[in-house]
Amino acid sequence: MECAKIRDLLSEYIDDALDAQTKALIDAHLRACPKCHEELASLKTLIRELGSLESLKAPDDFLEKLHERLEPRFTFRKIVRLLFVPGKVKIPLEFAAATAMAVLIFSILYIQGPEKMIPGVPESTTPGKMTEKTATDKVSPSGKGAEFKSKPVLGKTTAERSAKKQEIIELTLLLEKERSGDAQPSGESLKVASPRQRDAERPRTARHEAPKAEIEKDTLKRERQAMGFPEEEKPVIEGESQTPFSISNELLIKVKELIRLNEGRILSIEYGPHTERPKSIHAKIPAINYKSFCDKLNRLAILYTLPPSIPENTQGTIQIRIRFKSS
Amino acid sequence: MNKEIRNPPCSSKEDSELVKAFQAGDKAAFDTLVLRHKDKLYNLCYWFLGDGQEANDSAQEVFIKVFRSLRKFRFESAFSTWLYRIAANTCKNRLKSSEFRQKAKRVRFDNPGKIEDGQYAEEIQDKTSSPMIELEKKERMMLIHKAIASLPTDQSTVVVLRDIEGLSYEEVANITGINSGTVKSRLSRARQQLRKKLRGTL
Repeated sequence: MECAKIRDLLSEYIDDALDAQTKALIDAHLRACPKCHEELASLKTLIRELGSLESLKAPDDFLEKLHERLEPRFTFRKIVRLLFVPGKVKIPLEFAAATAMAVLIFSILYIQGPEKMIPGVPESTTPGKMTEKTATDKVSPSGKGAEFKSKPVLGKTTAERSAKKQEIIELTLLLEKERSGDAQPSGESLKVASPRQRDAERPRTARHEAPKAEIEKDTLKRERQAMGFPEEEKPVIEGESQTPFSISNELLIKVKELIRLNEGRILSIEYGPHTERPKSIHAKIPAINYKSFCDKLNRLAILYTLPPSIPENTQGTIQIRIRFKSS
Repeated sequence: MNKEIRNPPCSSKEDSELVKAFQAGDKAAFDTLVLRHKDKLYNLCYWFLGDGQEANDSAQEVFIKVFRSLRKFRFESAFSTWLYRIAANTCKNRLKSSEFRQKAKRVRFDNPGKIEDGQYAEEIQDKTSSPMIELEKKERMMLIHKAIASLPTDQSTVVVLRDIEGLSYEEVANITGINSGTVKSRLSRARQQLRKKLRGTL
């Protein structure tokens, strides 16, 4: 056997990991080859030296340091156990809590949000003035001047006003078409238009979108005729010139008189921002007089929409807001 | 030279009992396992890495891994074999890491046990020896380690496990995941390489 092969096997020969036949071959070679014998002696020294190396000991605080490194894991597990274990009990509870929070947040964001965004709400009820209450004692019969405009009064909560606002019955009175010398030289009636005229003057969209309202209006007209009301309420004074201001204020005076006759009380009058034309009147009347009030109001001027009905057994007073709408 | 006699392994049966106790919820059993194996593991890590601080960190990392996965231990091998396998892989990964390589460039292995706080991590067991003898031992250890560290990792792993830790071929094969024949051949090459490198030292 060659020396190179013998030297490769010397490691196993030292460890006594060879079979008897191979071991006998190596023994025979070593007796004859001093170089391989020297190699064997050198390897034995090396292995003895490696095996006799001092064993190093870990630092004394090894376990303590190990605990420090493991401790955060214990704490984290404790937190997890506290929050989620046992899963059958705690996870449904956490889910219920999360759902409740979601509903609460949704209700806060959704219910309050749209209220501030209602389009077409009059100035007096816009969000910027939600914290104000219009004064009731500042109404002048003449309805003139800035001093008669409603003034803000701080006090009631938003919720109270919101509830109050819901109780107000909205009515809209249609003003006649304004007379203009150039545009309407013939000088037609400015007081109350004929039923045909009224129909024609209504917004097309309103007519098209609400045929039911038209039918109800015709019914109302027939009822008025049955009650003996003339179809044309007032003759037109030829050549008489009335300004929009005078038209609306004349109507306002009549409406106020009507409220008083129905034992009502005027709460506020709202005027236009740049003109002194009344925009609406806010009043309180006994509920039992509501129907007759509406009938009489309909004689003064045409109601843009039929007055909403109220339950027959309504007691106390109700609030109404009558808006003046230009045709 | 019988390393098993010089450095007897911890009883496998006792280890198994401690592992079962830990799996049953006895956390103190883990501490006992640590105390039984910490020195051997530290020594192994030191010979793999050649630095006291690195050996300490790696040995702790090994025990942390053991702690995390001990509940899943199925006794398919001895606990010590499993522990050494984790240690060998951990140290191998540490040797490959760029952080370790950069540090190895800066640190000279002429002061192997020095750690940051100025204390020697390892203690020489024979405290009766004179400072001169102790110095000679340290120098020899440094040279041997330098020679081992210069070997390919697969060879150095085998020689450390077999000749320094005194494990059997079978145990080395189980730890490294290679067969006994490969262990023998790698060991043979490693020993021949070391003999050449340490010819003037030993």
